[in-house]
Amino acid sequence: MRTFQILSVLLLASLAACGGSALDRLDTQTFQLQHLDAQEAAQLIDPYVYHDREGAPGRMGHAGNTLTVRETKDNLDKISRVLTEFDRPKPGVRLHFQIIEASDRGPAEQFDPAIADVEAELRKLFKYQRYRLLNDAVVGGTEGSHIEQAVGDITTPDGNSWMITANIGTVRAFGDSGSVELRVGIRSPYRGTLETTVNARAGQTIVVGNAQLASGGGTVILTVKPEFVQ
Amino acid sequence: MKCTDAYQQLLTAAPAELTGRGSTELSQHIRSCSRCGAAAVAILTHTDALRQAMNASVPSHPPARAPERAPKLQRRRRRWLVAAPALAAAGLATLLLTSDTANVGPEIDPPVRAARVASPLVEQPAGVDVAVFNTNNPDIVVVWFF
Repeated sequence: MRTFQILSVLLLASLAACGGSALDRLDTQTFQLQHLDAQEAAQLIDPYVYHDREGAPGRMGHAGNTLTVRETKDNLDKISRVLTEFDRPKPGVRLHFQIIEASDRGPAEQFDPAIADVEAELRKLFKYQRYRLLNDAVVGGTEGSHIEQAVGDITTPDGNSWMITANIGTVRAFGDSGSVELRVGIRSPYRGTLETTVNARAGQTIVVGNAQLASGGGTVILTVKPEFVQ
Repeated sequence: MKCTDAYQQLLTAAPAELTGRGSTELSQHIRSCSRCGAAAVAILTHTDALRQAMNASVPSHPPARAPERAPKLQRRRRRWLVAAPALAAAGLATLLLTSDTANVGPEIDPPVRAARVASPLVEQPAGVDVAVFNTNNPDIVVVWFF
């Protein structure tokens, strides 16, 4: 019986110790960032730091490429998972451009599988009789890149020479999916300029048209499809 | 004194302090705060039960077959004395763990991956109207300027 009592007292002591540590169970951990800016990372994990906890507030600080957090173990685990998820290199962006002419005149074009998907959708929206791929191009860059690509013979005034421009803005990537902010456009000394900013999902084709570029009953359409490359 | 600070001191406080006697910061807080006062009473109760159990006279070398010879009432009393420390421990632990629940912090789920961008955010040139067509093909969006 005495042994049982001693065990019971030990149980009491251990439980009391557990209870006491529950009141003061903040740990400090420093995370080394590989790709994320420390300030960005701090903003990212700030909601996980309980600054207002009475008696034991969470703390966070950053210096260089490190982030130091004082929080409960559970919250530190969550923060670690968040940083693991987001502290990754941003992928490169490959942009597939097509310049398509839509018109009401001219001979019927042969079926072009390169623009079949886009043409099928455009025919549901507009009454143009004819869609023709004028030029296409593939360019690549990373976040912050500015790209210009001439297509066609720009010295020949045949109306089929263009300068494709692209600014790759913020890349939000999760593996090979995500989205990217793009400022894309085409310009031609003979046909004018078409330019816009879009937020496109990887693998999504954005079809940009401008009725003001119309000439001879037709217009010019730009398609851009971003893809992420590691 | 805040309740959080009081809870941290309750375990090590003297019984007189737990009863709210004296002029210490903790005893004053116990007198003024019903929640901490209740916690102090609970600790005193469990501590008292524990003390009684520890002070109970238990023979260090009980004679052989003593349980068979002991009166039934005494056996019940001893069972209670044996169980008292465990009950006290469980009660105290429950008190401490439940009182700390509010201080753990907000429950925040880890982020989930961003959902698909339903439609592109288009910045239209000045003086130009724009229409965005989400087509039947989820991978094709048409942006048309007028």
